[in-house]
This record gives sequence, C-alpha cells and structure tokens, in this order.
Amino acid sequence: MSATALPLALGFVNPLVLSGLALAAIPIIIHWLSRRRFRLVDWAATRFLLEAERENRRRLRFEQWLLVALRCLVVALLALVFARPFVQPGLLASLVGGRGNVERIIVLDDSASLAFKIGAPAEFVALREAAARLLSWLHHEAPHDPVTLYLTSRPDEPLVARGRLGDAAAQELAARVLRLEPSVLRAQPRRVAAAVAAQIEALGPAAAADIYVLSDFQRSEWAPAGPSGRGVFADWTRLENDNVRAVLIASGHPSRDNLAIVDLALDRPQVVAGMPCPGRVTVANYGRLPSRAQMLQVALDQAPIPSIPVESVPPGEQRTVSFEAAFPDAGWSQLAAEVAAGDGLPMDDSRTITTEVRPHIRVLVVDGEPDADPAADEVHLLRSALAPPGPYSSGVQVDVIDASALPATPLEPYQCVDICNLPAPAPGVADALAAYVRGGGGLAIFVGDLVIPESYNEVFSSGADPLLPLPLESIHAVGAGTPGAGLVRTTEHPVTAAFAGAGASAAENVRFRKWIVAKEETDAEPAGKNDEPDAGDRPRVASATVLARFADAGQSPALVERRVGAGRVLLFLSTADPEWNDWPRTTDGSYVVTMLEMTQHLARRSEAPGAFVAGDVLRVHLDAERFESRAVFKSPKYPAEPAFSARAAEGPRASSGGSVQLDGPVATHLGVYTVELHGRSGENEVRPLAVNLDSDESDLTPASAAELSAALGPVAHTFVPSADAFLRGAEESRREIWPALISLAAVVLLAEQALACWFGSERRVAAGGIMTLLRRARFRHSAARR
Amino acid sequence: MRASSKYLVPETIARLRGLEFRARSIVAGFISGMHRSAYRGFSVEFAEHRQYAPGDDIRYIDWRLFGRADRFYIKQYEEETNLRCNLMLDASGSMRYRGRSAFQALSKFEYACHLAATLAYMLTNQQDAAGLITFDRQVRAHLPSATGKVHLSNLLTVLESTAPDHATDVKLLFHRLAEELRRRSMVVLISDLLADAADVVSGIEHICHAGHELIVLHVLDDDEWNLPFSENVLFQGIEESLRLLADPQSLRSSYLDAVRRFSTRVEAACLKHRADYVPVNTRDPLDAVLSGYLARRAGRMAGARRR
Repeated sequence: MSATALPLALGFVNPLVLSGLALAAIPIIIHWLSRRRFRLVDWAATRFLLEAERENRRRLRFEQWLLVALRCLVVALLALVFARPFVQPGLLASLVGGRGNVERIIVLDDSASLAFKIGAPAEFVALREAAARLLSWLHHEAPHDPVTLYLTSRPDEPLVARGRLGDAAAQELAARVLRLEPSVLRAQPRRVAAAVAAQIEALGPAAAADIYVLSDFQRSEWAPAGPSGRGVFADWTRLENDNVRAVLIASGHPSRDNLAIVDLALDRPQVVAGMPCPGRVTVANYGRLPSRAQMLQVALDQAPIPSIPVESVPPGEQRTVSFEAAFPDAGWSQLAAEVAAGDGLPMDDSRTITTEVRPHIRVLVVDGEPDADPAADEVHLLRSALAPPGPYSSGVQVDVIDASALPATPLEPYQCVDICNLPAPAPGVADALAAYVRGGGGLAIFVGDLVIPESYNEVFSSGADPLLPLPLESIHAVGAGTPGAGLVRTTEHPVTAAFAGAGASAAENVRFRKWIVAKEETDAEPAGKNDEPDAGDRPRVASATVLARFADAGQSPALVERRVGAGRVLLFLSTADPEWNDWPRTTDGSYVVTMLEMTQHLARRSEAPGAFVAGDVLRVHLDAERFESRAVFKSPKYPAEPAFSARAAEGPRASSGGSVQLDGPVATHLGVYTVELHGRSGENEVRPLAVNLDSDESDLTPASAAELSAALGPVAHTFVPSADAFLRGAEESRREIWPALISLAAVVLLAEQALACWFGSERRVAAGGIMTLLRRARFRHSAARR
Repeated sequence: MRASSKYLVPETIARLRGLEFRARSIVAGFISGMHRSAYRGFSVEFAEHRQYAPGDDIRYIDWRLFGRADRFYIKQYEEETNLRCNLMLDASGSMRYRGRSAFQALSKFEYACHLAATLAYMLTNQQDAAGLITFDRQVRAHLPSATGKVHLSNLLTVLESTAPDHATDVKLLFHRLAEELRRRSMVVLISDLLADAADVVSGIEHICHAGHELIVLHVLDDDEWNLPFSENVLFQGIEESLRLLADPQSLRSSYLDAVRRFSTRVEAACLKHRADYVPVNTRDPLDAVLSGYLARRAGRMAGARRR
C-alpha cells in the first residue's frame, strides 16, 4: 500500500445485510419452480407446436434468461440498498469495508513527549480525541469487530482487550480515552509490537488485523539509528500475514523545538559533608535554532545555590556546564537543576538526583615500618596528606595501625585501606583483604624495602582474580649521582588529575630513585577497555590499567589500577614516604592532591543510583545487618496515591555481599519518591529516590515516513501525517450511494418490463415482468382466501 | 328404423330447417331430383343451343332460331337429378382432443360426427343419397351412398359405433378413396387435417381431379386454433410419442403463424380446385357453423347462376 495514496474504498453501513444478496437467486428459483408446475395436456396439433418451438428455441432461451438476470439484478440492488453502501476516498474506509471479522487494534502513544504543547492543547489531547473518534467510527462502521486498545506506556495492560463495541461499551471506552493524560514514561514500541503480534498470532496464521498506531513517532523510539533501530516492528514482519495492515497516524507536528537537561551528575564518587563536590549538567538543544543563553538553577535540598550561566547551545548539540556544590550535612540529600527553557515540554527542563553524603571517608592506613620519628615513619606524610592537622578538614578520617594489628582489625567500617611497605601478610589476612575488596572496598598498596616481590606475588597473585594488579619482578634503583626518574601520566584518570597533562611529569622536582618493576601483561588489552565486567557467562577478570609510569628508559609502571569484584586495587610501585622518592616532600602539592584523589577513587561507593528514569522499577539495596528486609515506598503524589510495601525478593540473586535488594513500584511520576527503611535497632531511615524523564523522550524529532516504512518492512501499511485530517477526511468524504442504487434498480426494473413488452405483449401479461408475477401472487392469495 | 341419434340433435335440425344442401357443381344422380345432372337431357330446364350435327334427333331443332339465323341449332335441356354425397369422417386418434371451451364439451370427433349426422339427415331429407367413409390410417367403414331413412339409420349406427383411434395417414388414403369413388359425387371431408400439408393438398387435388365436388370441413378445437393456455403446459402427443414442456405464451405467435400457414395452403389448394374450405372451431355451435356455411354457399351459387 502506498504511503500517501488514499484509495477509493467501498464500505457498507450494514454489512450483514449483504447476506441478502442471496435473495437475488429468488427469480431463478421462481423460474425453476414455475417450470416444475405445469399442466399436462394430451395434444393433437403437435406439428404446429414443434414448428413454433423449433423457430423460437434460441430466442426464447435468450429472452428468458435475460429477463431472469434482470430480475436477479433488481433483487441484488435492493439488497445492496439495505446494506447502505458508501464510497469513501479515505484510508480508514478501505480498512473497514469488504472484509469479514477483523481485529481492530489501536495503539495510542501516551509517552511523555506527547505532553508537548505550545499555546494549543497538548499534542496528546488531539491524539486522544482522534482515538476516541476512531473508536466511534469503528463502533458505527464495524461494530462486530473486536477492538483492543494498547497504551505505549503500558503494553502489558491493554485498556480494552478484544472488546465488542456495543453502544454503551463504545461510549464508556471513548470516555476513558478522553480522560487519559500523557504519562511520564517513554514509549515502548517494541514491547507493544510484541504484544500485538502475540495477540494476532493467537488468532491463527490467517487472522485479519488492522492496527492503528497514533503517535508522534519520535525517531529515537520508533526508528532509532544503529542496530537498536532494527526490529521495532520485527514481531509484525515475523507474522508473515498478508491480512495484517497498519495505519500509522502521526500527531501532525513535524518539528518541535525543545531544550532539555539530559544529564545531572556529581563528579566524585564520594560526597562528604562540608566538602565541595564538583558536578556537571548537560543541556541538549533538540530544536532547529540555537537556544538563547540560560541561567541554570541548582538547588541542594531545595536550597538554591548561585545560578550558573549556560551559553547558547547550537541546534542538535549538547553543552555541559560544571558547578561545585558543598553538601552541609551528612545523610541523604537531593540535588536539582532546572533551566527556564520556556519550550513546549517543561517536564524535561529540570532534573534531580539524590546522593548519600558521608560525614567523612574512613581510611585505614597500615604502617609496615612504624617509627616514632615522623621523618622515619612510613606513613607520617601520607597521613598528613590525607588528614592534615589543623581546623580544616579534608573529609578523610585516617586510622593508622601497624602490621601486627591488621589481622584483628575489622575492615568493613573503612571505605579504603592503605597498606604501606607491608611485608607479605599471612594468607588469612590476604584473604580478608581480598574479600573486603571484592565486597566493594578500596585497597592501596605502597611498596618499600619490606616488600619482597616473590612473597607478594605468592600471597596476592593467587587465584583466578588476583588482588595484585601486576606481578612484581624486582627492585630497581637508579645509579648514584643520577637524579632519578620522573612520573608520567599515561591516561586521563581522576587519580592523576593533578598532573599537568598527558605525558607531562607529575612535578618538576619529583624524582624516583627506587621502585619495583612490575611485569606487564604482554597481551593486555588497552587500558580502560576492560574496566567493566563482561556480560558473558564466564566472569571476566579485569586487566590492570597503568595510570602513570616512571620516566626511565624502561617506562616501568608506577601507578597501576585494577578492579577486583566490586572494589578497586591501586598499586603504587614506590614508597609512600620519601625513602625511595622525594614526592611527599615536593612543594607543588601534587602528592597531597594525588593521595586525596586516590582515596576518593578507591573508597567504597554507595550502591544507590543517583536517579531513576520514569518506568524503572524503584530498587534499593539494604545493609542486611542494619535494616529489615522490607520497606515502604511513597510516590510524590502520596498521600493521594497509596504507599507501596515491598519485601526482599526471594532467591539467590536477592542478596549479595551482605546487602539485600528490595524492588519497589514502577516509577510513574517525576520527582522524588521516598523509601522508608526499618532499622533493626528500631531506627528508621528515609531515603529519597529521584525519578527523572528518560532523556530519549526529550528528542522530539519525528521519524520520517520512509524511516517508518523501512522499519515496517513487508507489513502493509500507510502513513498518515495528520490524525485530524485523516479522520475528518474519512468522515466528511463518506458518501452513501443507496439513492443511486434505488435509481439503478428502477431503471433495471423498467428495462425488464420494457423488454418483456418487447418480447411479446401476450407473453408479458402471462409470464413476463415482475409486476405480473406480483399480480399473480396477489391473485392466488385472494383466490386462496376465497 | 331409428329416427334419432346422439349425433342428431333436434334443436340443430330445427335451426337448419329451410336450408338446402345443394351441390354447386354437376352431380350424377340416379333419380330425378333438385340437383343438376351430369347428363344433358331433354327436360324442362333449358340449358343451351348447339349446332345440329347429323344423327341428332330433329325433334329438338329450334326452328325459331333457324328462322332468324338460317342454321340448325339443337335445344339442349338440363337433366335434374338427385345428389350423391360421401361424408369422409376422420376417425384418427387426434380427433379425440376435447378442449375446455368446446361446444357442449364435445371432442373434435364428436363434433365431426354431429356435422356428419346433420348433413346426412339433410341429404336424406331432400331425397339425396348420403354415404359415409370413416378412416384413420385406413378406411375403417364405408357405407355407400343411398337414400332413405333406413340408410340414414344405418349411417348413424356406424357413426355411433366408431371410436377415434390410430394415427392419420392421408398420403395414400385420399388417393385410394379418390380412385374408389368412381361416380362423380360431392365429397365432404370432415377432418382436423393433422398431417403433412403436402400430403393433404395432394389428396385434395386428387379428389378434385376425379371430378368430385369437395367440401373440406377443417375441424379443430379452439385450443388448437388459438393456443390460449396461460400456464406452463407439458404437451403430450396423442398420435406421437412426444413430450414437450413449453410456455405456450411464448410460442403462441409462432404457433398461430404455423396454423395459419397450414390452413392458408389447404385453402389455396381448395380454391384452386373449386373446393370449399371451411375452418370449423368446435367452440362454435353446430347449427351456426352449418347454417352460416350453407347460407354462404347458397349465396355464392345464386350469384354464379345469375352470372
């Protein structure tokens, strides 16, 4: 079917009356019966009779059947008149007329993008009115066809499933449709298509179905580019059913300008109370013109911080602006950003995230070579760098223990553990450290004279997922009189953020005189490629990433990171104190900054996501030791909307590493939900859960007819660019043709009578003409009464 | 002696009283009567003059004419004699047909018998001789012409004892009858003539060529003349094994044409040989048919004599 041509269609108001066409056989039956009813006469003058019959045989037969055919035509025309045929150049009529029972499936897009409006009512208002009119039209034109209505936001819950549109049902359904409001969810065309296909498939391989899709057909959802764009309608093409036809009815706005905040994030994985935390806001311009300069409003727990200017964003591009916020108090906080875009879709002009603000980051420093003399102590300068003495806090709380205390020290309270020049620990301690890291903790390993590479390799490199990022080989020392090697960053990383730039030395005065050479993996993949676990069946061991190298001839690794389980391990192949290098004593501050950034980077991260997207299942992870495995979720509409009680899901995936996963309701509102957690000690905790609009909904660029046609493939379809024009055209252009049919029947009747007269006046009186037949019938009826 | 018969209806006889059934042409009678004889004689009715020829009886020379023309002419007189009439009655199966509108619900055969009986009565009553031949595919009864009430009674008996049967075959029959009737006479053929037109015409011509005065009473039922059926009819042949389901209305026009063509051809043959062709519809009363025909015949004969 063409994507633009609207074919002339023939339909019937009362299609069931078409069965009356069978009455057209009545004249034939009458003719046949009349031949069976005869008078038997013993006849003498047969020669005259035979002569007459021989002369007239062919003519009589022709005349006879011509008259019978005309009578049949008259009856058929009368049957058609009662069926009330109409012609219509509209597409809808072509889909209604001339077929038997057809599944009428309406897919109404109620995704958030349909809330767009400028001046006139929201697009969804026009679309739902079109859907209601479509329902009304189907009620009148195809009342016997089952109707199903899906909403794209809830493909699993059709508004009506295979319902018959009786008078009351049609009105009630239309009223329900007119009460619908656009959701804040994104459209799920693939899931809707799958549900529709399953419904049609259940009806049999040759089931006839007409699918009316009313949507704005956002390209990002209905015809996305790349591999994800293929197969939005794959389930329909898989049906291979020629009786399935689709009508894509667009809301009719080819282009809609929209400025949206598509991302809000904090740069630090740990937010510490009172410490400034950098963040980013990304503003995208989906319009055709550059946006005007805006002021970005950022608020911490609804307390605004100074506005941040956002320069004009070119059309189709994004601009990221940075800000810095300091959360004053520990606990759960909200961070919101809003831009006064003034466009037709305000719900994507703001974004909120939530974060857990810690009072400080607790770091356990294990001193392998403690000494009363601070100058000789292994970790004195490190501790000073992390938690400098004085009134100002770095946000890090440091506990220092010596190696002997390590086995007895619980590691869980700490977000990070630094082991400095620690001799190879006993296997039990190594296992505890490994478990700690796999559970999410951070481990920094500083080497020194006490570190024996072979022992370390033996203790920390055992197993499939070794703790040591790289195996150690040997201690390397520069020659006497040589100034030593500098430190060069190899890749951009938060830990090396203090370095001037890629390839530059960490500091002009930093000199490393001694270090341990690590054996690099020759088949290691490029840094940063394997940071994330693979989705395959076999857990993939992450490779090590070299963040910095010594500036010697061998370019030995100096700073190596590797993810182990949920945590991270960072190996520094020199000492934390100035014994092998002079970095702690440099005056450029790079040592302090690097150590603080390293602690931030390694510290155990919160499992709570910053924000959810509307349509997601709200999910929280609980510390099983602190909280009961139940919670109460409250939406932003609470108490108008009842709270949702949740319990921990059963099964092996429910809990992991001492945390319990709790699934709450599907987020159907934008804003901040709350979840009340019940502490085992009787102390409850309320966490905010921010729900934002899916950023895909902000890109309002519609897919073209060609793109949709490509997505539909062989499925017969028509693209209608405007719902209003489509339905208005369909209704107004409908022309019933029964008056013409009555005229035609009269003409045929007159022709039949005239022909009967022409064929012979006596014959007309006796056998010709419907009127004569009627007169005879009336005569017989009256004779019988007499 | 029988004075009445079922075929001799007094009312009909009464209505025909006063009418004479006279021969239009010369007939060969055996007694002196009201009809012109085939023999020229010397009677009271002058016929014509003829030149004298040696051997003629000089008693018949017209001397007055001799005085005016100075030549001898002989006066000739017509001899009036009685009529020999042979009634040829078709007794084939087709004559059994009895239409719904027939006079007194008579079949064609019964109607024909009435005609024959009435004519025989009239002939007998005017001292003429009447004979009867019934036939179908062959002659079934032949009663030579004779006068007298006894003969009439025998004739009526033959009529009453005859039942129509068998098919008609006039092709040979008419020729044989023409040969058998040696003395010139009046022949009244009463038949439905449902045979091949050429055979009928050939038979008529043969009878006429034999010197007989022929009167053809073509007796058909009203159904056969007009085919007035309005409903579908399954026609079943009386003489033929035919079954034809037809809408008579649609065939009527052609049927009437066929009947007309047939009767026209027979009538033309009759006219050619100075025979009378009388189409008879059994719907019409007997007396009306006979009186009408006899009146027309008498009128024609009178006109011819005046000429």
